[in-house]
Amino acid sequence: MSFEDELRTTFRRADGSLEREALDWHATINRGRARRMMQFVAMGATVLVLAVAGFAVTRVDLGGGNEPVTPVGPSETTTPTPDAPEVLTPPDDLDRTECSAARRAEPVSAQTLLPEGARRMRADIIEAAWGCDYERLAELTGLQEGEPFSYSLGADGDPAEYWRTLEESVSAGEPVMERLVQVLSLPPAEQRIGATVDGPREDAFVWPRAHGEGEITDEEWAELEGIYEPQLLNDMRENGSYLGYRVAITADGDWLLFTAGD
Amino acid sequence: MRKNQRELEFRDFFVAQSEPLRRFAIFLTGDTDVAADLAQESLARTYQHWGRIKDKDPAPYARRTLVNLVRSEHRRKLVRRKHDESHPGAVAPRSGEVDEWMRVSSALRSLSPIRRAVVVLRFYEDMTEADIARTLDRPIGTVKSDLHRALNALRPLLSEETGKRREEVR
Repeated sequence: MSFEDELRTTFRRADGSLEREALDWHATINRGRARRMMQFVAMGATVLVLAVAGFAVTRVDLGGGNEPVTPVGPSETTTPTPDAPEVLTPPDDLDRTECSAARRAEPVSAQTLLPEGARRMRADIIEAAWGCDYERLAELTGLQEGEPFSYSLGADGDPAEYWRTLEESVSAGEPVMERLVQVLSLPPAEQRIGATVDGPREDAFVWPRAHGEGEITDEEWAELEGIYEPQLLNDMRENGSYLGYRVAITADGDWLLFTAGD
Repeated sequence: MRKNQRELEFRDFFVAQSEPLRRFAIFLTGDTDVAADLAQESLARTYQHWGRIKDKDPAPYARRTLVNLVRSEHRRKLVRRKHDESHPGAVAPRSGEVDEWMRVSSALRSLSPIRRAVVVLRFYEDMTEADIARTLDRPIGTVKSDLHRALNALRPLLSEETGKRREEVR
């Protein structure tokens, strides 16, 4: 018997001596979810590194976006979605008295060059936000299915209740649904996640483009002017970082976060 | 992809691959506790990137991730610490096979993690050199070289042990 054959036999014997012991599915999937969550929480830092490489953060040509945007790098994911509507239109029967997003609802670009999963999720979010449909928004987060989703740093509860409280509180009232639609109406940054860890990258889109830790351009600051008060924007600009809301959706259509940057 | 669909798809992969992956990890680390931890971590990372790799063959990705984990300095420290303790996770083979396991495990630990992986994939998982190259994302020439050097290192160790064992039997 050759040494190689002897080695095979030895492995077979050793394998026969091992007891079968199933790995814990729940522990494994929880680790996986946590890794996905951490991946996107850490995006800001990753963006800067990858942007220096001139590849990972790509301004996305949205196909009829609200602002003209010129692609500055390669994009493998921005293929047109056939037969997708060019514009998302608020329904006629919106109650424009109660919901901040409904009060100023107007047609927004469907950003048809987003990958289909991201495009559909974005459209679903906007449609739910126009109606302040908190339950539908909570459903879209996937939290009920145990998926990672971040809506407020340190929060551990029901995002629907959190958003409803922000919207309806007399003292702390914040037009969070309007902000959600406004931010999603801006051009996103495309990000390749995972390039600095191991293995394949995952594409995600983050609105607005100003969310990262890199230097924010004049054009990116200008995009925010219709959303925040000039004084607040000036404060952020002097501070060198965007502290407002941001939304992230993977190319596959998983909604990952809607948080303020503070 | 809907969120629950990702988990449903990954669940099938987990059921099929978790035990082979755990055993692969045992041969790489020589410790069942560390192996289970690393196998679980490689599966978690596979899940993390599932959207991108599910349509390719995700099994090589999971094995490559596992090998990278073993290679990392942090994990090697963990392995050393485990071995320095009272071998709480050491494999408990069935009666009569303890020597077999101990000598293989001991000989494999004399190799670098990447050569250990090449040997285990070739002689335990019966992969071709081309499959090993694909799994570990290394040039096939490097795999051939690693295999050749690993066998040269193992031959005296295992042959010597085999000789001793035969002497003892007599």
